[in-house]
Amino acid sequence: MKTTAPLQIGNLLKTITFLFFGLLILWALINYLILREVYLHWLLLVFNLLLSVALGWRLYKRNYHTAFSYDQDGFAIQQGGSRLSACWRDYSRVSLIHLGHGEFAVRLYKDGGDFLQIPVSSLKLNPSELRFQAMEFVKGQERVVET
Amino acid sequence: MKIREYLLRLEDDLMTGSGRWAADFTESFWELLVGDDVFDMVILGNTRPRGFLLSRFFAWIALPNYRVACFAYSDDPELKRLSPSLKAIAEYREKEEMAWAWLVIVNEGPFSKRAQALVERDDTKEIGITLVDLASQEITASKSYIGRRMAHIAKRFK
Repeated sequence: MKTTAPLQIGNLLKTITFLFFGLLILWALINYLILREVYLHWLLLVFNLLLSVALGWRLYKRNYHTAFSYDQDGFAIQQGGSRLSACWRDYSRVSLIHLGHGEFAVRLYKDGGDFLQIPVSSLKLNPSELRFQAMEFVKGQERVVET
Repeated sequence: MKIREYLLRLEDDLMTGSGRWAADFTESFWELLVGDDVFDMVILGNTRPRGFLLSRFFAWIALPNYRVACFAYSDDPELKRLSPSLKAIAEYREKEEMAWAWLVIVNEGPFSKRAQALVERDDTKEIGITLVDLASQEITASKSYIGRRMAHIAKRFK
């Protein structure tokens, strides 16, 4: 099985930044409520940054990090804590979806209209290439997966 | 330029390029069966762009949200498939409650004079037809507003 699980730097930095400023505001509020002044020191900012990086990494892994494994028979997607495995032949149609801001996903439809979305841009895969590969897998044609 | 390469460029232009001025195309199918007809490419969209903050709000209050689609098929210089394709598109439009649709027919050579005349005479308001000759890079479009609109977008040879 071919596996791809790239680091989504944008989502990681966003999580760390929100945590950093969130913790800073929380610290300032607690200080003000207890001491009626805000105590700030560069050591405190460094500690806050380290804490934000540690917590941010855990939150990123739990919410955003996406791993995608596939071969000609089936695929597995793990997004944060949730994991899904399926066979290509469970699906009948494939489409390419533009999510906006240059982000793409490949959508797999079942006969009843239910669909599953593979976030190709987050996985740093070529959306169009994966779409055509998925179409061939769904059709059941044997093909060597290019690396 | 090959047909597949052209259709990929057209798809890219409709979804992320200047085609967004015509409609917000979001979903693309290849080799899609519509009725009894298989189209090389079908791109679905709507007339309300998503935008960001103010432009999204403006679009929401000012623009109607009509569903639209662009169908494409190839290798039909005599337009023998045109009639069943238009019938399939009309049925699909009715089923999906689509306001209008485009049909782009691509060929790696010239279309017959009869085919060009047929398209040039067509004034159907709901379906704009565009013929694209990849060899001479010539475009023939129906005379309705949406036909002329697609003729401008379909010039994706470079």
